[in-house]
Amino acid sequence: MSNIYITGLGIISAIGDNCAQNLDSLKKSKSGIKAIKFLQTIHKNDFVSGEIPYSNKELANIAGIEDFTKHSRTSLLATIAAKEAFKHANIDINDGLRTGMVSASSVGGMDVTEDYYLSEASKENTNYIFTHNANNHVEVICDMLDINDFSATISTACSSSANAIMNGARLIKTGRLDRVIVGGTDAMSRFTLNGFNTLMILDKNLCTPFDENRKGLNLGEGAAYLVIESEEAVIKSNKKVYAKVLGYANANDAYHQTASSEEGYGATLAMKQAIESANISPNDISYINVHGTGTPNNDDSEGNALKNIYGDNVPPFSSTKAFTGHTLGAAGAIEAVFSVLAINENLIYPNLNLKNNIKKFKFKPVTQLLENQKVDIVLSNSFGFGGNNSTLIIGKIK
Amino acid sequence: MNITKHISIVNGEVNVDGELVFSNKEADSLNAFLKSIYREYGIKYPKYFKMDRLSKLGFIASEVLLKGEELSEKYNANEVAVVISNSSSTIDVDTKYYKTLTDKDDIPSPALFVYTLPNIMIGEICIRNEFRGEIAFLISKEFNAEQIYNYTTSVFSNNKKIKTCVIGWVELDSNENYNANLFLIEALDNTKKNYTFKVSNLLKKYK
Amino acid sequence: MEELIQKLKIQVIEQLNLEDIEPSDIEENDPLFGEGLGLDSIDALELIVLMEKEYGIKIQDAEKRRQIFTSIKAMAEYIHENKK
Repeated sequence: MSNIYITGLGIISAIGDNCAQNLDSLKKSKSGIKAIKFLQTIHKNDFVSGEIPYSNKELANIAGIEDFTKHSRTSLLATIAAKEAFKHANIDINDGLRTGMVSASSVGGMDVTEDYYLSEASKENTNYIFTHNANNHVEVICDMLDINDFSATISTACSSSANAIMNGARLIKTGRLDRVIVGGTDAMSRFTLNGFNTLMILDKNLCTPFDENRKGLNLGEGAAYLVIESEEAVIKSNKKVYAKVLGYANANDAYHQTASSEEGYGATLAMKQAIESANISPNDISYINVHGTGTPNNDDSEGNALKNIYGDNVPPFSSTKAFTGHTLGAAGAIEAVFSVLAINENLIYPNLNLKNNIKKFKFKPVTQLLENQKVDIVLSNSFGFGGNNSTLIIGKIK
Repeated sequence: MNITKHISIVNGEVNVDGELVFSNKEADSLNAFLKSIYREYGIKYPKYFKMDRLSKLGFIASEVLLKGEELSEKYNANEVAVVISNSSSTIDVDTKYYKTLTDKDDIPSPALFVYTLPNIMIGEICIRNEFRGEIAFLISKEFNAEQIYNYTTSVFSNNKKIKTCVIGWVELDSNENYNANLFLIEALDNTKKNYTFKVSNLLKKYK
Repeated sequence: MEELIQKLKIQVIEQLNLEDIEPSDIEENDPLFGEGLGLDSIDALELIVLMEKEYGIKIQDAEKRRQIFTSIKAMAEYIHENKK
């Protein structure tokens, strides 16, 4: 694999408005999951979530956008994170390098459309017809950052932004682009909250990933972007680099629309193939950031997949979804950013809220923050409905 | 790479490699039209009837594309990739699900919610055919041959395990306008007419 | 009870989009999941919706679910005992 360097990071989640704040919360084991405040729903008091504690107007302020009514919440979150990544990577868009954007979303502009769909069209609400599609935020950001060479939007549920990172890396490797801003975004919406509730996979209390008595997931929202660049681009601009994308894979479970196979076929294939693509062995992995939603089904299936690859000797692993909630289309990118931070800060994050380990597995997640760790290579899983399983491998710059 | 087969389902007609193989313009709904193709092709898959209309369209299109191809004999499960795109994502079932959400006398439907992600359509195709290779779903304003060509070639060049790809466009908008164009991309030579896999050929065949 | 069982068969067929299946094809004691009708986990959730929508019965306990939905007869008996 020719080298793909990560040169910039941007993130907004329930645990922070930017990288520094997210890192601070991770270090302090400070979860962002709490009572729902902004989403107008009859279930407000029924569920906790990783809702970001700002109104759309406040988000627009942070994003530097004048009129918040012209944007969906999904798009506002994406703009904040994309701008941070772009700035962090010190991009000069006029330096002659071919720049693209590959982003992901499952909610798109549904967060505002659902408020206005049944209303009569008025001057105030017809904006939201244009903000509805999943690719709207990509158009907004490419316009804002003057990205013209390529853009694409991926929508594959909870693996979406991991797939965006993978696709971006491939565009560099096949010589089509020099650098790509990759990631994803999703905002809370009644559409998803009620949908997950009707599938009976939400936990009314704080989620407990990889716990024997886990009841389900907590939804969350957020956005994260990474800037990835080719080796030539990095050398040309003498750029600071933070980590490398070493490998990736996507495989299909081919089992059920929303459940994962007990054997973890898809998950096993994705992890195995990602490890192979990175030209490493499973034991080279320092830390696994599992998908770990806290649903009975996922953690069982993913646990079986870990067992398929590692037997009982699984490297240190944890789910960070008890910090942020399950951010759906943004999850892959948010957790990729966490992976880069883990590598540079020598940290392994705790799997919060664990009381009882899953009986059938001999391995258990890390439950306290580990500092001063040698974190050279991180494996990050993102598994989506539709059996879409993706794994990313991120490595230290040596 | 070659485009070894192309099918289209549009305007009440099913075309395979440019030839009309089935037509039913009398069908009074998309469901009725797709069901008539289901019967015509002798498909026996009860789960079909639980799918939303977009998944039915994609499923039927894939059945027409894969008929006679015996893919499971030529390839292993993890050698087949699927890359599909559309413009309207799952707007058709989104609207139906939304009604169950907002109607005071109704309850949010899990069976409808499940289909409100466009890659579930691909999931149904994979479950039916036991495809375990890569999958991706792209959203674009209209059929973007260059984008899907780029994506597919990068799958082949970056993932040496993938030997064949089902790609195309499966669209159902909020006015019931539908269009399915699927292409089978293979490295094999075969005795059928082949067309080199390139953007101009995708555009030439697209209906 | 017989009337309820017949009505239930029709409702299940409709709620779960069971095409090509007539009420007469479903035996009241046949397993709904596994063999028999071969329903899956999403169907189970739709049956929960059916119970609430048509009979006002809310089912939230996963263990209870398994007992109630073993067959059409089991569903009818539960409705008979719990209908609001």
